[in-house]
Amino acid sequence: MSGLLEIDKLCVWYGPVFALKDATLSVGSGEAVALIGANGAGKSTLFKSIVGFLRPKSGALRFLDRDVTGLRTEQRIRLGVGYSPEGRRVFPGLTVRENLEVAVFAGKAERARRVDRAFSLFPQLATRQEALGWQLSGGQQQMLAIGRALMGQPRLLLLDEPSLGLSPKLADEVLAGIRGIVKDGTSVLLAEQNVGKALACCDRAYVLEVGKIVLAGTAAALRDTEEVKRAFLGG
Amino acid sequence: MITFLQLVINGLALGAAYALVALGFVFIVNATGAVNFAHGDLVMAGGYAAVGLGSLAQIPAVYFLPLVAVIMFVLGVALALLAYFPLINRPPSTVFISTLLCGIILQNAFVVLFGPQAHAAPPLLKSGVAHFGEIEISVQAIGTMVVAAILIASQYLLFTRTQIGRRLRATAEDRQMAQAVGIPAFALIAATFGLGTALAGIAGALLANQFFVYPTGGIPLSVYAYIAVVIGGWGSIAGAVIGAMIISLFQVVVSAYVSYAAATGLLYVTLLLIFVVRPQGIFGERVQRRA
Repeated sequence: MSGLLEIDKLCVWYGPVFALKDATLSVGSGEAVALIGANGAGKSTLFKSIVGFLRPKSGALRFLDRDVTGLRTEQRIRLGVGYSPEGRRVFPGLTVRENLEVAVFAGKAERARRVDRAFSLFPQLATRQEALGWQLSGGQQQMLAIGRALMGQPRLLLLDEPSLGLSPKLADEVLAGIRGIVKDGTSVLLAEQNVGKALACCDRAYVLEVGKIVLAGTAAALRDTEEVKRAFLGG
Repeated sequence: MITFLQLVINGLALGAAYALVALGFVFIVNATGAVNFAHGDLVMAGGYAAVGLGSLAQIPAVYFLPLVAVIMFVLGVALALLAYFPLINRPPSTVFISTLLCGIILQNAFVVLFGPQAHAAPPLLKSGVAHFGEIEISVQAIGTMVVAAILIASQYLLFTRTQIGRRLRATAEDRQMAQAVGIPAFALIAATFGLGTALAGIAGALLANQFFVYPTGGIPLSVYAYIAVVIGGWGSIAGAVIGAMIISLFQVVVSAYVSYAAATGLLYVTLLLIFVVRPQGIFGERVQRRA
């Protein structure tokens, strides 16, 4: 497999407590991969390590065949990573349009083109272009966070709990968009607590439990695994 | 009536200089959220730079104003490296103290380099007054108002119309997230300190003609900048300008009718009233956070 993102034996500690232990995973080109696990299992920690918010204690982090552990956050992003964080973190005092514009590193015409494409992906945002980030509903903020993460035309999109706080209907809409994003050439790594929905829209999945990857496989295989059924699907 | 009009115009002229002082302060607040309490001392540093350059070459200040801005930009970046970046993950009050300390270091440097006495810088264009009917305005005051107007408009356009301005605002709101959309936040913050300090320096060079520079002259200016921003609305450029005008109107117009001490007292009473009635300032802060 052509590994876009290769993580090998990553360990992250918060003081004396480990948050991730020997996490090994990969995301290839054209794949949607789910990262499933309960609250506190280490999903967000993994994402924060990938973008450089957190410094791992040991292990390797390679993106596009390049060791990125020494790079600053913005350098990793500019290599082709898009990050939609847990809690959305849209810029509250910037308008919807400005939230998208700040994330484009290209000329004015190209900037306008990419912003338009985000609006066609999320028509709800188009009607609220001049609204400030904090004025949006939770669902709209989530769309904005995803749209913003796509502005750099990333090779890999990191989606941390995009359905958190959304109505089931809205969550379905957001997750349904993932296949389209993959089709457009961006691989997706999705952290999600709703295992059924995550497995439905991803090719492969890793199961995290208290900082360790305990299971890995194709979405179809994991759906039929007893442990997954028992632990997550209520079967 | 003419007297009143003359007073108002004098007040506006002083207000324009204060607005320039507040502008650099608000620039750094807008882009980093940091309260820079060395700001008044940086204004003095700009004044001293103008004094020094003016004594080297006997030319009007307008010719060496760009050089003052460049020197001050470097000083601002140095301030960021010394007093801001090492404390970037500490509470905002830490930066408040560290900049206050840098201000005291500057005050002592002024004594060492220029002595304790007051100095005056050359005028922007020339000394003298212009007459408009019965009203007279000093050429320096007109120059100060014009420079202030240009810089206020430029800063407004920078923050609202340009990509770099939007990125500065994004960095101020959430530095880590700004980096996570690819913005080189640390470089922008350093540049912000440089530009804000350059604005302070230009204000100092303009003030240093009419109002002399002396080692502790920056202390009230830091306070005025802070008050102007609080009155006007935290982070608002228009608010800072209005706030600066209110301060100068009290100092010039109100003090002509009561005493200067009473006018200063009334200014602070007004400030307290604004705190109680409209804590977000006249122009309010438009950002709220959703819980």
